[in-house]
Amino acid sequence: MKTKRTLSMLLASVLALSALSGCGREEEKGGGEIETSDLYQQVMARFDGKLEQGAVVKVLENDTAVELGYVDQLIEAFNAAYKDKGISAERMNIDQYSDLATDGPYGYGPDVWYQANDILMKYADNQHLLPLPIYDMECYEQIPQSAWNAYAKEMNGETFFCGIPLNVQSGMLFYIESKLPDNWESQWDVNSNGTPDFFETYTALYAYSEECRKGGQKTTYGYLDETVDTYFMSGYLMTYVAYIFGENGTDPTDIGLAAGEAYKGARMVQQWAGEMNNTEVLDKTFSSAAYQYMADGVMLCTVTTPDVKRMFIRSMVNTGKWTQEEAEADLKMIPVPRLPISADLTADQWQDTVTRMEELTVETTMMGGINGYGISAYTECPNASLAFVEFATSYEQAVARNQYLGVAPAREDAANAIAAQDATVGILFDRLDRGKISIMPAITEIGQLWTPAESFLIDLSTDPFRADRGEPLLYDTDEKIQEGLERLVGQIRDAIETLA
Amino acid sequence: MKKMKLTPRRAADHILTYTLLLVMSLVFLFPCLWLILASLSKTGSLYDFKGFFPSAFSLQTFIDLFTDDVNGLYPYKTWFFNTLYVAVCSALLGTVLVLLTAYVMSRFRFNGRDTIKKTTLVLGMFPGFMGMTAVYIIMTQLGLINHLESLIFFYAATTPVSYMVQKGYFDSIPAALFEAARLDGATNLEVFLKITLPLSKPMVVYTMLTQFAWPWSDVLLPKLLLKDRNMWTVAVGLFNLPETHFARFAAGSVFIAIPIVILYFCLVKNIVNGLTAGSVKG
Amino acid sequence: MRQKLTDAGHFLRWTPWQVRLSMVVMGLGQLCYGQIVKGLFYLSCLGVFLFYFVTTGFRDLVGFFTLGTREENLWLRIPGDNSLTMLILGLFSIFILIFVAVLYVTNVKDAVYTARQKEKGRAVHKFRDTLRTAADSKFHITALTPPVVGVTIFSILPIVFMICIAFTDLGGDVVYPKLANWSLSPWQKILSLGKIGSTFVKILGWNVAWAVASTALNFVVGLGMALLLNKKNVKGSKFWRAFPILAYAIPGFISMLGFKFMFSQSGPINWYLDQAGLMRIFFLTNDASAKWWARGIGLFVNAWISTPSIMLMTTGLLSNINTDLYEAASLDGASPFQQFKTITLPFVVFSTTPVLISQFVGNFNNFGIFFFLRSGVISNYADYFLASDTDLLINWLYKLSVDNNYYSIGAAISLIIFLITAALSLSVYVRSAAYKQEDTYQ
Repeated sequence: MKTKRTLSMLLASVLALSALSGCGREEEKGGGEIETSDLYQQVMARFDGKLEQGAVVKVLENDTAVELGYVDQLIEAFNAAYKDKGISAERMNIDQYSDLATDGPYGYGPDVWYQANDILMKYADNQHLLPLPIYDMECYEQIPQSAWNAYAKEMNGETFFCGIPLNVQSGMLFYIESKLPDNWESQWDVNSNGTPDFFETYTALYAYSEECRKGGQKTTYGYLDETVDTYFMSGYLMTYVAYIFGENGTDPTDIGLAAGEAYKGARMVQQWAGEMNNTEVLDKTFSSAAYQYMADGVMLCTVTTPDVKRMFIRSMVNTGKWTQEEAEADLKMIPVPRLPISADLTADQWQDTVTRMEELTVETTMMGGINGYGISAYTECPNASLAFVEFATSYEQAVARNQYLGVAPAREDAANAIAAQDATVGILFDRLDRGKISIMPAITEIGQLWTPAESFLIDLSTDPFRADRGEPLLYDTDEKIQEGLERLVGQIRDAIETLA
Repeated sequence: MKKMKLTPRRAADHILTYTLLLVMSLVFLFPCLWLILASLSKTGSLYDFKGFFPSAFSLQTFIDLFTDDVNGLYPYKTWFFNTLYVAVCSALLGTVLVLLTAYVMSRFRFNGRDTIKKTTLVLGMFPGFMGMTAVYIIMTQLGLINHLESLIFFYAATTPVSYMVQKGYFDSIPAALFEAARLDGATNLEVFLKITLPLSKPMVVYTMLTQFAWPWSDVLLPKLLLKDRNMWTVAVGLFNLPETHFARFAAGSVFIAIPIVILYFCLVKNIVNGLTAGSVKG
Repeated sequence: MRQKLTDAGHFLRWTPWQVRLSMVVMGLGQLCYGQIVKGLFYLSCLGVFLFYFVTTGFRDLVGFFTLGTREENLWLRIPGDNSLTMLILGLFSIFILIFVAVLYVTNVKDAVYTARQKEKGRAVHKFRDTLRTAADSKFHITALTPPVVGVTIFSILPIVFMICIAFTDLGGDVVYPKLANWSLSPWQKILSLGKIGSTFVKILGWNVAWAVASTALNFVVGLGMALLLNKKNVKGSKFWRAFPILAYAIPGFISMLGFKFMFSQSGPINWYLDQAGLMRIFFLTNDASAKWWARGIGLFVNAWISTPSIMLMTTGLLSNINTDLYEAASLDGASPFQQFKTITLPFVVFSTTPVLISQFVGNFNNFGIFFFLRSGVISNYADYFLASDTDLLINWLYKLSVDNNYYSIGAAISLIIFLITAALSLSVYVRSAAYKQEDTYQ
């Protein structure tokens, strides 16, 4: 730990020298007197470890965590633990998507803020979030480097980390066990591994969804999902080697959404839209509808992030058919199925894809995020805030958070401890470790991705309905899809360059 | 009037008239009915409806609205009283300001009157929210962020821009009345207080009512100026409810709509008079 | 010119020392005339102003021109300037300067007035007299001061601020703590970026069509409803009238959100279509086919919200029409339709021109309708730059400046829009009968 820090400081001073010669626009209007030789020390100077006596740390947490009572528990625990040390914390009851750049400078922002990495890091760009002395923190070694990278920010050539990863978010497959077909063990477990085949490969899921549509199953649909959601659908592109930004998401000049065989992935999104044959999935509100539809037996499964697990459970309990305990036991979260190498959901026999899995399929890469804590640069009590963050990212709280919310911790020790009862956690941690979760880039330019990408996905997945309406198809060949992807890349680039 | 015979032509006219009336009332009533139905949904989710009808009914949402604020996320009762406070204060203050402006513009001829007239006309055409950043910074400088007074000041202070309706009303009061009072030695202030105001009751009521109703439906500005959820107005709170809380949205809407609707029904005569007078003379 | 100079010379030679004192120090002259309260008022205004100007005002004024010279470094805790705050405080100090200048002039005028009164041998105004003047012959000034101050701070200042923003490079990368500069770059960008230009033209076309269509629709339907309720054979018109009033009373955003849910992809209307075995329709979703549906629904919802007030207004108007006119027309054998065409319509249109104009402007800038109905929709990225095909200019502005931080571009565009609407409606308004009549009225 110590060596790492010395090393980074050494690196900093070397890089700082080069940075001094090349500082551009920022220096034009003053501010040039930055002493970069001991930049790290200077930046971290305010974390001197002296707790600000009487300070009240204002904590902004996420709504679901508040709603389910976790936050009150956390703050109570912190206040009890720090009673003698003269600091306390309170929940800030403002909108969870506060605008730190607007509120912070005038003193209306939070001290400590829990959010997804892309939202937090948007504010790191203009230094609204503080870099944290992570090498001195207890959690440092427990959290994998890939998770830390989600919070990396460069200044004068040195890398700083502006947030503490707390949990891993990525798409998981949700289903209700009692809605499985009664005969799944005889009909849908060809490889007899105790997992329904249609949860193992998308080819099999496609086949099962077709079965459902014909009727006779417990649910009307098999798999339903918002086919216009960039966050989840980008997994189809990424599995076939597309990426968002180059250099591990740090180089906005290199946009890779049309790279590799991305068009194949896009084609499958279109296949799904046709199979689902339900225009509700073309609306962004579908994600809220999904909770109810699964409980009502409209569909068997969907893909979404673990943090909304409680929403499904609440919907189930609200129908009156489950008690709280029954619902918790009946709702399952598993990793997303594998995708066919052929990149065609109907090309292979679904039975083959499960019996010759390694040969015919590939593990799906999903986009993901790392939720965590950041500390506002406008805080009056950096040390007390840091103490709170340390407390909230401790092993005990990481476990407690999982128990309240079902989220997957980014701490290895917590993940291992929970994995025994909650398999999801182990799976997500493992996928993160193996790079099968592609973390959302932590640069501002990511903001230009969503709109054009959604526009493309809508056009793509509306095609199956265009035929019914007698309109010409937009994306009926691979070439057209590839062109569409390239156009998308061009649009993102335009937006980044022209409006900078 | 002589009794009219029911000719076929007249009968057809009757049928057509009442069909149109029926269609009109349904078009206006139905969406309101639907919201009331939705507020009685048991599960609370929009997606559990069978068409327009919730699958099960319950009064629970209305009870939850006031008793369960979901750990402080949706304190409806607080929002309600916040809005009431803002609405009453800005209605009082705003009405005074706008009546003064309208009265002066109606009865006085002075240098700069035409400038004021044209300026206000032009001010009304600016896209309001473009100035919101400025309003936010002004409020930070006045230390009014997170204070309901910021809204009251803003609403009241910007009302005089739309003084035209009130001026139209004052214009329609016969000038002879004022001249008589002036001859009796009354000052302009006295004329305003003792003659103009009592004669303008419908206008005053109409002005207060529109002023009162506005804070219940404004979303953008309170969202910017009021950070703390306990300071929000009903509109901000309801607008921020997630779709999974649709019944709560519906119940909250129904609850604030009822008093306003009753007010409107009681004061409809004044509204008609106010609106008409204001439009006849610009 | 020379004449004026000699006049000024005469004036200065004539002025008593008290007036000269007032010219130098605001309020001193009044004090010497024995007008203690008034003098103290002017003096204290001067004092407050000087205190303000020395402590912050001067710095703010300079800040308006520089927009900040030192960039803040939040990580290293190097304090610096905030361009936005400096801009607005600078504007404020300019406003204060103007205000004090005006006050100064009134102070001198007041002293001259008192001097003239004295010359004529009349008593100097006491404080009580001043109060009486304020309540009587100068009532218009007294009454207008609070509204003017309020409007200046909360309406004019923000607008001037926005106009200033259009001439800076604020937005995009240049946001706090980076410092902004005065610049013409937003205008250059609007002119040079084809995308912004083509989106602007597209949205402007729809915006004008929308404003015309919705104003006409609301007016026709509102008038129709009023006529319907006014028919002689309608019994219980108060009862029927209650339904539109219901819609009028419900806060607008609730109706709009309600309709949004009603027409949503999983909403009740689509549910019935689905049950009937038909395809769900993309009413408000992000699809090319939703364009005309959403526009139509927008017109409908807007009419649902605004026709009741037009109905109420025209109901009142209709009762003002002289019934003799109709009887005369009846006797001449005019059909009801002819009566409507020759009597009712001209009367209603004539007397509601100003309302129609304000309705038109209101609809042109109708932010709420598509903000609530289609929030978050940005359609076909290739054709529309950060806008949806139903967006009005004002919605686009919101997406540009609030959602995407392009402040200066947004401000520049809103300036263009403003010039268009202001020119249009001012010219119509000034030519309207209601405006011309104004001065002949009294």
